[in-house]
Amino acid sequence: MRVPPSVALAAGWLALTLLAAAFAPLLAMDPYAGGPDALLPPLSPGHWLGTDDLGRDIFAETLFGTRVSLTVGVTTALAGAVIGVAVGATAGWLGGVADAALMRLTELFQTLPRFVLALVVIALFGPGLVKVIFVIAALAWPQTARVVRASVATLRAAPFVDAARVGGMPGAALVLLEILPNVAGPVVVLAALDVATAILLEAGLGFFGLGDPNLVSWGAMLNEAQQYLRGAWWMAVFPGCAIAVTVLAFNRLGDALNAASGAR
Amino acid sequence: MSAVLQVRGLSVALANGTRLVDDVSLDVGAGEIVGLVGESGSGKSMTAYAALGLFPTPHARIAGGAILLDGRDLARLTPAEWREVRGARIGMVFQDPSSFLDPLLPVGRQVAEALAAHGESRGAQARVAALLAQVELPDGVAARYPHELSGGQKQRVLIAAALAMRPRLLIADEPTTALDVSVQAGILTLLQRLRDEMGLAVLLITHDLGVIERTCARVYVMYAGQIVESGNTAALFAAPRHPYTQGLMASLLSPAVRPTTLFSIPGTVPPAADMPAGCRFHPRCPLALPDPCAARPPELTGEVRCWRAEEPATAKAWAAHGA
Amino acid sequence: MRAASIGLFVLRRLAHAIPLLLCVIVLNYALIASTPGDPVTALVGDFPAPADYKAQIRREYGLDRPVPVQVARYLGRVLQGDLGYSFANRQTVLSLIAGRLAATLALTGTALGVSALLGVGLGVLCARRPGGALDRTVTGLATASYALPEFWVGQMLILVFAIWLGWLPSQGAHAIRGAPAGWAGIADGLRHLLLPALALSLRYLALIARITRGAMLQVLSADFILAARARGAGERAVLLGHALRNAAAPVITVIGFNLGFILAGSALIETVFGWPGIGRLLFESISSRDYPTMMGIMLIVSASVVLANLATDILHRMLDPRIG
Repeated sequence: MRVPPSVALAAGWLALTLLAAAFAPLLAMDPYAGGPDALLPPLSPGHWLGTDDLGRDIFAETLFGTRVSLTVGVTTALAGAVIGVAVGATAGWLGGVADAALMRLTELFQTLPRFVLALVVIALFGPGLVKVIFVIAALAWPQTARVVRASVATLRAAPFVDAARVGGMPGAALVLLEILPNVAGPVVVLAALDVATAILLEAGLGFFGLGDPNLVSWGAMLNEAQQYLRGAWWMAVFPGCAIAVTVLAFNRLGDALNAASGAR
Repeated sequence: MSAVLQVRGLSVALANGTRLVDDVSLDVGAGEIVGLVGESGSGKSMTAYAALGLFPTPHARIAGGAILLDGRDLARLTPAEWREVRGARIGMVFQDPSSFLDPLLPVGRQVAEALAAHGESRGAQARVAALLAQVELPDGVAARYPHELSGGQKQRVLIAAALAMRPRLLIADEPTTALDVSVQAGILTLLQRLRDEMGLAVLLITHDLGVIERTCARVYVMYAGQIVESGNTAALFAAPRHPYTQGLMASLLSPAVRPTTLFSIPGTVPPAADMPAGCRFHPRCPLALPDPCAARPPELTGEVRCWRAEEPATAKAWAAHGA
Repeated sequence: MRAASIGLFVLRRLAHAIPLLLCVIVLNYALIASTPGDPVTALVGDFPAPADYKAQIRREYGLDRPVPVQVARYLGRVLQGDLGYSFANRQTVLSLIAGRLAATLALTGTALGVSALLGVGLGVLCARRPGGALDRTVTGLATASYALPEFWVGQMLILVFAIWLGWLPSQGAHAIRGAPAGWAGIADGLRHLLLPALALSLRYLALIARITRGAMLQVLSADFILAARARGAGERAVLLGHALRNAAAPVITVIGFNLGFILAGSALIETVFGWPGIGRLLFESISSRDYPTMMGIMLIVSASVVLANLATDILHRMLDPRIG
């Protein structure tokens, strides 16, 4: 199977970020350790991406930032996929009133503006990584639910399902074993794109100062960079590039998966 | 009878060289309905699209031959000249009226489309009303959307749209195939009436022999991209000469023809990329000989493309199969 | 006849949207009520308000009564336009938001207009010659742009155009020393609007261009396009008269339902550029723990999304007569 170069690059970058997140302490100095060398430009000795206003190394901060981004991105996408499949499969399988009620619920969650809601929830309930994951995941599932519901409702009437039912398979097992594997493709594609969206949301929260204050995040770095745009452009450029390339990589992967599953 | 359309040695090929239509020649005269019959994959639709210079896929193109419309060779036209011809000198009616009408526009505007395209939008509304009346549709139809009309009505709309600029030639590609049997007769009668009223030359493409018998004065039989037999419809139906034509006739489910058993030609139409050597029909032909049938492709002589056309046995080619 | 069926459709969609709106309001209250600590704080803000005021709030919102009563009271007040009082700004929340509305509308309206027009235009041009130079360039740029966080784009634009080149201002909606009158005032306003609108519209523009291109390509392979060409219709009639009209429906649906994008983005962009709109107000109210204002904005934004979806549905129906 021939892999387009952009997909290979995307996968390569994601592998790098994964390694960076896993081995960050081995690859860079302590990102929390400030020092007297504040606002050093890139290519300064010992700090090849420069330092911020508190003397912290930009390269170290960027590297450690992968941890928050990947954690938030992947867990919310997984949670969104699980919830979405559960809601969508139930609605599609049961049909009738249950279906209508669940779809109304889905529509409600799809209508709520994700970012504003996330801001408000964190502002009311306090910052923290778990809360961030929770609130982003809570709004990630509607799209998946819609797609799964449509597929399940269509496949419910398919001959192979009837055959299994006649063979005596109970309802729940039917859905799990026979129908859901057919839905896996679109769910995976949506999940990949969800990771990208989650990373952007988390960055936005960090920019508003609502990220986890104990963890380094790219969004928070951009928050600090805002005041120093005039004097220290490197504080904004590098974390932003990191966000952009990572999001791009997940988007590219999602697009490639979409094309692959569509071609089948 | 003056020939409006004269196709001479037309070939249509794909980008990779595969020939879909190979050296086809046919004539259609004013005031006559000529049939082009064949199975799917015979290249009959591609012949029609070639006459319009418009293929549904970007990979197909005219690879040779001439298409003369009133003496003018269409195969040599520039894109701008083609746009002048389409809709104005040649009109085309398609198979499934549901998918060939824009779902978001009232049908009246689509009937007037050729008028607008050729700069004759003045008085369009009156012309549309006249056209709809000509195809036996009530006047209010012009404001309706396609999904509000029945299949037969939509097909009449397509016919009206094709005739808006009073073309000399009408090409109808399977105009009744997608319609209910009860509606088909109405459309065919309409085509015959228009032929008489307008002196229209009609090329009717179909796989349905019943339609041919009912409406066409002359017919061409196509197989695997080539014309294998042609002639006067009555004569052809009475005494088909090519084994393929005979097989087609024998497949007709008519009590007069097949009182008891069903018959179908064994084998399948060869794919365009993989044509047999020699006569293209020989793998399925009950009379095929290793030489010359399997070795050299026959020419079209006296309206039949068969090495053994003159032999008496050929007249009952499928006798051994019970046909 | 057509007007009647559209009217019925509007009524049906309204009947659908109104319960949704009410649910949004109830959900808003659910957040307020479930805040850790004293719910009065969520209704007053983290402000040293006088004790009798807090007691008054407690009474009016029924905080010592059962939950359904609280919800009903809150619902009643909201529907009458009472979104609370902002101590930090010494105004009712509603008047506070209303005062900032114009600035936000100017920014989001411009961004929306630019992305819709430019996005559709680029999408159509790409679909005209798929695989061509323009197509590959635009698609590549769109894919890349879609990955850029808009607030970072804002920062980069400030860096390049305001700081390094000094061509455009970086903060605010008008010059600090008061806006000049007449044409100079408008020009000044536009100069301030340019960078934030650009930053806000970029992702949306990329999305619309890609969606339009996809929808156009799909429509262009339809049978009725071939039929139109067979009647002699030229490129422009085919592209704009047939293809775009049929592609418009899915494009408008995507534009409408992603309006939340622009609203979210405006909060970030207004903060980056110090734009005096509702987004910046949100940031301020979060920083100063002015909860009534924050919840009021949340409510307004959610309600706007519901209304935008409704408008999109109706527009969709007007374009496509087949929808029941």
